[in-house]
Amino acid sequence: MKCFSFKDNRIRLLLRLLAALLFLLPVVWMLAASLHPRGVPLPQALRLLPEQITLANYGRIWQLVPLTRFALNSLLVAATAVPLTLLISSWAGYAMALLPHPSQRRLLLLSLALLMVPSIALWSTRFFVYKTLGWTDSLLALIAPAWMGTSPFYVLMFYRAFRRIPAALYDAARLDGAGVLQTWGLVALPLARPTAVGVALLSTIFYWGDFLSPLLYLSSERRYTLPIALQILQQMDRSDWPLLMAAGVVATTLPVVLFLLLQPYFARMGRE
Amino acid sequence: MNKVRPLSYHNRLRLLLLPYLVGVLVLVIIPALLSFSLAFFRYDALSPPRWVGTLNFILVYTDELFALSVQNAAALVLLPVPLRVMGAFLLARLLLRNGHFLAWFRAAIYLPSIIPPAAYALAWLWILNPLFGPVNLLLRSAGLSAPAWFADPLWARPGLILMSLWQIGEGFLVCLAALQDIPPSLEDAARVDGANGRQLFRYITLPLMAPILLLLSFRDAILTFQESLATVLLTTGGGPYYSTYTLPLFIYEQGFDLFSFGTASAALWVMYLLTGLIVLLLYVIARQWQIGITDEVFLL
Amino acid sequence: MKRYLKQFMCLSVLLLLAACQRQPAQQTVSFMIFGDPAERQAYQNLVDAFHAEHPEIRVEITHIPSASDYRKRLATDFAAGTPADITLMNYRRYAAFAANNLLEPIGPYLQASTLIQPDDFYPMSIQAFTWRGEIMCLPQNISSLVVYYNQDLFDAAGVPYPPDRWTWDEFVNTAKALTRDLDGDGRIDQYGLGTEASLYRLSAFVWQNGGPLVDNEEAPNRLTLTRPPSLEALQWFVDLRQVHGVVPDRVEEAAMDSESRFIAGTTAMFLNSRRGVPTYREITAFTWDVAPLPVGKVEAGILHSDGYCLSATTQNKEAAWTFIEFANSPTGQTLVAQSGRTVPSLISVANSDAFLDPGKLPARSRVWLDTAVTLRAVPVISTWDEIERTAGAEIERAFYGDISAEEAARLSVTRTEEYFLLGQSAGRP
Repeated sequence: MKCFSFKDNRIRLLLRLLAALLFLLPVVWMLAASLHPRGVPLPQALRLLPEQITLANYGRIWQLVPLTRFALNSLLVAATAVPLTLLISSWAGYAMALLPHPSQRRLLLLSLALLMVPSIALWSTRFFVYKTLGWTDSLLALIAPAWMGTSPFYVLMFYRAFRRIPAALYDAARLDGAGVLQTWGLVALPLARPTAVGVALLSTIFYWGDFLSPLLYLSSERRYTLPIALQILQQMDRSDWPLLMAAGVVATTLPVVLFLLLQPYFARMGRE
Repeated sequence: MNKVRPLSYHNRLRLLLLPYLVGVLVLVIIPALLSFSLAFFRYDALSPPRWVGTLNFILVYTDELFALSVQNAAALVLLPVPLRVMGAFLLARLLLRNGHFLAWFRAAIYLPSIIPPAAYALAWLWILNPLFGPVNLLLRSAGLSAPAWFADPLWARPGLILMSLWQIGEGFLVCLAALQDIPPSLEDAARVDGANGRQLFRYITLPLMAPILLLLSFRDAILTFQESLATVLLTTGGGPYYSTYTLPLFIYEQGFDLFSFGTASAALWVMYLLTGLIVLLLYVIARQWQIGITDEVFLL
Repeated sequence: MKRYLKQFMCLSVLLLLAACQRQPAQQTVSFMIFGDPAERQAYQNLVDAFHAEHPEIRVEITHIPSASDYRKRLATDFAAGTPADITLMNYRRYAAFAANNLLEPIGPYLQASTLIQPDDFYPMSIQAFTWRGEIMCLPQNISSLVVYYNQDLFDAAGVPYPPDRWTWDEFVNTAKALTRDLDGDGRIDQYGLGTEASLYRLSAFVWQNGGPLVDNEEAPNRLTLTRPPSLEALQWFVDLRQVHGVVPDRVEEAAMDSESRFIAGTTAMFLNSRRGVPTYREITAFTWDVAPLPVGKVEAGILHSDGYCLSATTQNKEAAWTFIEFANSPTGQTLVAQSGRTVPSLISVANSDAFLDPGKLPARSRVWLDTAVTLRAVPVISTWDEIERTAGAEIERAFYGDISAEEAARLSVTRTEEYFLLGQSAGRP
């Protein structure tokens, strides 16, 4: 059990490096395969990078699918749904944290019960809801979950963060004449910033990666989102690995960039 | 409405809840109620539903594939969850205290968790490709025999489990936060009393972390149980030869392939009840250990 | 409280209304297809030509990338009452919708048409889309399973090209001669043959051996793969892998499927319908062609056909029919045939240069027309997809050596019985 003490700094650094490399492997392999030139047989011997390296696969994706349009749609969905999610889930979490005990308990139980509903139970019947609202074949159907804060889980995250803020702060703000919204915006939210960043990142990943909703609720191709592009390409040739990996890399870029930008906040999350 | 009375503080708070509650009603409660009530109807989505009582439950109960799908789902939850949680915990411990590039190392651990599902599945289809995939090339160059992974009924499940082990970012962050909450003074005191590293871990860290690890396991179990469908659909499609045919896939195929929404809904009930059982178990254990459940559950 | 509530509700209602107000234009017709980009382009050309001739009608294509998603979409769309006005469906798939009266029979429109008449089509294709005496959908093609072959690999091995008529044994021997270990490392680098191990692929060989696929073609109750001639055909099919080793094994197929191997030039023959042509035409590395299936005891081929189906709920039935009619008029079918995608169901177009174009591969397109009289169809039953999938899983296991052919035949029969019970067929409500 010596390994749990990590007394020696160099050994610890080495272990950390190994762990990090291990977790980077899938991305590294995806990147490496995406650089393999078309038409050259895939190697059957282990090597990190292909003998010849090419970026042509990235160019080919654009020729085969209207990737820019798909990506813009994805971006539009994420850019609308994520702020909406933040607003609605933090409002709900804030109200839950400050309401008196019986209501609070009821709301917690409700949110927990809702968390247990498997998403597969909702696919087909949500269709009727969207149809009634006239949201089918529109990006509204993809943004729709944001109207409920995307997931009760995010509401609970905010609830927990707001509860950790000393009640005296809220009371002080109230005595100063601040309204509910002002207290939320000026006192509570800034103190729960790591949680907000976490919810923003998680919901971005969710909306960016959602591949079932567009398949179920959209019919016009010009509204398709990025994950559909991956399926179109896969349908064309399941064995064109360099092309598929290039598409995978493209689809992964935005979340990674966002993550690296938000990383300082995110690593600190949970500490406050 | 002739007299405008200002809203009380609590009612104004409740107003903030309104969008959430309306959204939840329209997007979850109503669709879920519709879905669950279909269990008592014969409904193919094409002609109007017809009341059949409990027939769907009997049909599902006697379906060989249903039994198989429950077993497979259980196997795909019971095996990976402990591995994932222990992995997240050990990594969090390894990356707890300051050192060079700490933030970058932590980011690397979290990175696979932010890859979109469709891209992640594609990546692993490539990584575990039997002939050209890097994992098998690695195994072969080490002189080991290379399994066919998603093409082999025996190896498809290990393949799915393996690919799930890289997406443990959430558990990793939760463990990290929980470990940071353990006051260093506690360990210092123990060390002064002559405890060695192993004892520290056994008598201080582990007991304090146990409730978190337990809760994490349950949450992971529920999520894996319910939401594994996307991964399965994108990689094995339930095969080869039903080896990764899980309960969500059974529900999905009954509904979307067989247009038998009644039996799909009956299976959905089973799934919801099984999930409820997991939650109940969690509650009982948490009671036993006297964990402040309301607070800790929401940490996850 | 009440007032705030009211304001909030008004706001939400307004938002909803705003979302609802976008009314579709009067004469818009939606058209749902699936397939790869090359196929999609063929239909886009068709729609463009239609717009030029009928500016008053707009056709909007909905393109679903994969066949399994297509089915899922059909189910949800029909369930929600919002299917596309026109859907392109295989004859193995439309029964589920026809059985529930969700399709508008196309027969009466066809009778009234001045452009096309039922007699203009190959009878087999019309028959496959005839549900309880009515023509349900309009077939666009009469494709069938053929052998695609790589001429360069035949030349390199000194093997003559497949003749217009060949036997099962000649087929196996050709495949054997073309299965080669080129670098002498003990691993096969080039396979003689590639095929899916599915019920659909197997069917033609069952019929060719004089065996039945089901007990009753009009109102089937079970698969009959356990009957001696059917089982013999299954055994022969399984032996392609298990005895002769002329097709890739499971691992190799999983690593790179046979179609990709054919395109990459490492598989000499590949079984497919006309569907592959637009993609194969992009091959520059070698020359390829098609040959008919080998012939067993009886001549038989298997029909592959897709039809234009009209949804019963469609508002603009006339406009939708105008498009279907155009698409299946000589002009329309010529356009799609030029893309290589179809074997036209219109006899006149099939025999024209649009299909037989000597300047384009495959040179032997005539193979499809010559064998058209021998084609047979799988039964039309609403649960056929499940039957094919369930039986296919067993056939695949036998093909790759997990179980014997007998076992696979037995399991296919018992495991699919339930679906026959659930299904509705043209002969049994």
